[in-house]
Amino acid sequence: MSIPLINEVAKLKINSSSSSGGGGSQFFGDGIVSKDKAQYRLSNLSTSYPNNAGASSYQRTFNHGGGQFSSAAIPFYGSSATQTQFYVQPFTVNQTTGLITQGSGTTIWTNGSGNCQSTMNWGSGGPHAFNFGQHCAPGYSGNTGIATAYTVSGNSASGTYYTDGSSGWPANGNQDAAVCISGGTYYFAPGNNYNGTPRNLAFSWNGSSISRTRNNDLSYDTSTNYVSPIVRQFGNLAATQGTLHLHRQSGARQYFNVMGPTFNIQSTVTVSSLGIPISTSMPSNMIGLELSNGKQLFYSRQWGIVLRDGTSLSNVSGTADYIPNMEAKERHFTPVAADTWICMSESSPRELVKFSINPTTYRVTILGSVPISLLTKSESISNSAANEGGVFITGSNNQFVVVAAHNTNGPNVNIMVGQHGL
Amino acid sequence: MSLINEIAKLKAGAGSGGGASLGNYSTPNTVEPLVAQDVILAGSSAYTNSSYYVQSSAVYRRVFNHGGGQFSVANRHYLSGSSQAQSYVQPFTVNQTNGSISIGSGAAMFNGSSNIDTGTFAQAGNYVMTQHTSGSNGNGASACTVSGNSVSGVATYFSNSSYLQPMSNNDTASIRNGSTMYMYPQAYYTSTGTAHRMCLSYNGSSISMVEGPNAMGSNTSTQYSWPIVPQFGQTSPTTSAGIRSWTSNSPGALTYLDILNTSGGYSSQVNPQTLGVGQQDSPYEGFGLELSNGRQLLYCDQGTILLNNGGTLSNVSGTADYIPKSFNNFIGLMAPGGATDTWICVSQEPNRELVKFYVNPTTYKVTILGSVPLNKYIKGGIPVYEYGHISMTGSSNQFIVLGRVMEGSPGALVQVFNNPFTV
Repeated sequence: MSIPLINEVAKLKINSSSSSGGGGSQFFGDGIVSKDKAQYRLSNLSTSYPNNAGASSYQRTFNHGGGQFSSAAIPFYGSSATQTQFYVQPFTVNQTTGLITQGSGTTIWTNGSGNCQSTMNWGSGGPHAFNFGQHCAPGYSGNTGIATAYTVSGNSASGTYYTDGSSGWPANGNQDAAVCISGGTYYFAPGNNYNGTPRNLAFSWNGSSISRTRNNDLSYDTSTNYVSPIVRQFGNLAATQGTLHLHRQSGARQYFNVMGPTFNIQSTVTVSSLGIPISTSMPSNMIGLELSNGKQLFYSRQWGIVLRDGTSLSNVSGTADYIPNMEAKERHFTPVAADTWICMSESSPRELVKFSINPTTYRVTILGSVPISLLTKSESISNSAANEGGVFITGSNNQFVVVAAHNTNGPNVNIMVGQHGL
Repeated sequence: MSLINEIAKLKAGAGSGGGASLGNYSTPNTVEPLVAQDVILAGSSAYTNSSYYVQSSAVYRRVFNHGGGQFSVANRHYLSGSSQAQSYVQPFTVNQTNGSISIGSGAAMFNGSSNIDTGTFAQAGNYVMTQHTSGSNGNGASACTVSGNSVSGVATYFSNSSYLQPMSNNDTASIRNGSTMYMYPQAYYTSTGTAHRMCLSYNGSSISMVEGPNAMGSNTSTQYSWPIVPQFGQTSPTTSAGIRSWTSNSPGALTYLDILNTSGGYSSQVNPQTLGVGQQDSPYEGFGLELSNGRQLLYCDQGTILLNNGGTLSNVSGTADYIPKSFNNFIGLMAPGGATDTWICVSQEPNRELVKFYVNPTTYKVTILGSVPLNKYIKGGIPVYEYGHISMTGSSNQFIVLGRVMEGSPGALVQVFNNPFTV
């Protein structure tokens, strides 16, 4: 009995860095064990010209479930040569070993008559991923509104795009898009779009074609408006209840549009009626989490917590707890059990945090945390993954963390897989 | 029973979830006493005692470890309202037994009669070089030798000044080959606004341009040369001075990497996209470390790791590990760690930690050997900038030297503390 105890003491002393001068380290310990690593170039354009990818925030990695992932970018030539493409690189993470297998990289669309891309929104649900933005859509030499959807299966990707050739419905920011599922069809709504005034814009994807299901001018008084990305509940492929759309009308009054799963506006609520003081400028976007009872909690870094129950909203800032990350980035949350998620914490030093939310009291219980730099060995890479990539949970027992960090200088993604103990 | 209590205590200290706990201020009263501390000013008395405002910046200063307990603080500054400018080196030693600091005899590398500002620094053994502007002499460089706690071999170079317009305050690639040091400026030609290939040498008494200025077909003033952190037992890289990154004008904005050699030139030019690296319209910043087998790992592009093996570049991002240091062109916060293929570094803000790690020289996997929050030794105050300094010294590397270059005063706060790493 005494021998294992002594061994345990020795191990704990090492883990707490006491033998090296003190605890509290981001880097020292065995909380995450590295399993595999990969880097993929997200382009098959010629290397004779610079393959630009725009900002690193213009690339994304998605967790499609069951160990299937994909990384996507829209590379284009940065010189006078005219090529733009939507490129997807699928990969799998073995659910038992954590090993990465590269899939078949493919282009969803290509354009030989233009080299550009611009502001865009990304989102995903189940095996599908979506992009909406202003790019050199096929057949166009300048930025044109285009929506793209693809499906990943068997470590391969296929998809298509929708455009009407108009630049009149541009994305107005690089927020994550909201994705919902209704009747087996996926719907996605850009986080922020306008045509002088905001629009109620949404697309549907049935696995083979994209439809622009909503494109209504809302005639609000400012282009700034936000559709909140929504994090799914455990067992669901995407959110099922819709989300909130925050906007402003004359007199700087701010409103929520309560949206259903097809992004239909079900009701409109004045923000001030919830007892939330408002300022003249619009606050930034919120992140929503869907609970097991169908209710949704929306967290704002500026004003607190709003509960959506059906088509009604209430202010629960005085009783509900905050969560470890209130950035409007759905890609930082993976549901791992009913009302339980693992997410990347909001600020450096970044931690992987497991937490649960009581679906009736909205109290949060932190179930464990571990510094992500135990895997990346670099807080710079951890921050890059948090800001511009993603952090996902996978494995037969949700035992693996997948960190995706996109490069700042071109269409590249760095994938790291580790086994955590949360 | 006492063992069980100890386990409970340690578990609490180790935090939840199987990882290490964070929160640097969670264990009060654990700040370790310093072995020694001093403010090392680097400037002539006209500057350190002047009633004029000293025009400078923290990024115009560096702290260097020359080996054997010999250190120096290097600085560029000028006096506002008085026609004086200089680059200056102030030596100091750290006693190898007790860690005490002794300030030596400093000297100017260059004295001018107008302003001085942007430029790069490099060090190789006991040589210090800086390439910089000068309002009175044009763009140029200055250098010196630090030995015996004093400065000698002061030299300046002001030919080809129109080609030597500095474009950054970064550290720059350099190498010591015998008695000659080679430094690759990060500069551009003022007439065209484009970068040229250049290398300056210093032999202990004079500076020469040994490469260029040669037009490289650059489309921009921006170029970076990536410095290399040496191997344990070395004060300079030995197999390559590093990398020069630049963009071409045909085809437009295509980035190239020059693999630098050991004698002031470069051995080949590589399009990094052929290695699977994407790119934007500007060159990459980066830095490297030299392994015991002479290979160099290059950390760049916020996530790409390249390998220079005998002058051939390959992309090892899919297998090599990252290291805790920030991805940039500053290498002062990283140093050999007292054993083969081992280094120490200071991790990036906001939670600065002193980290010791090992890099396997063939698999490029990293093992973290220990880490300590830096505020175990310091309590706020002068920031630890990316261009600060960390290194080991002492007869058995029993001391850590932290150099915190100061923004408002022409020098650095130098602190010596016991090396916390026993592994």
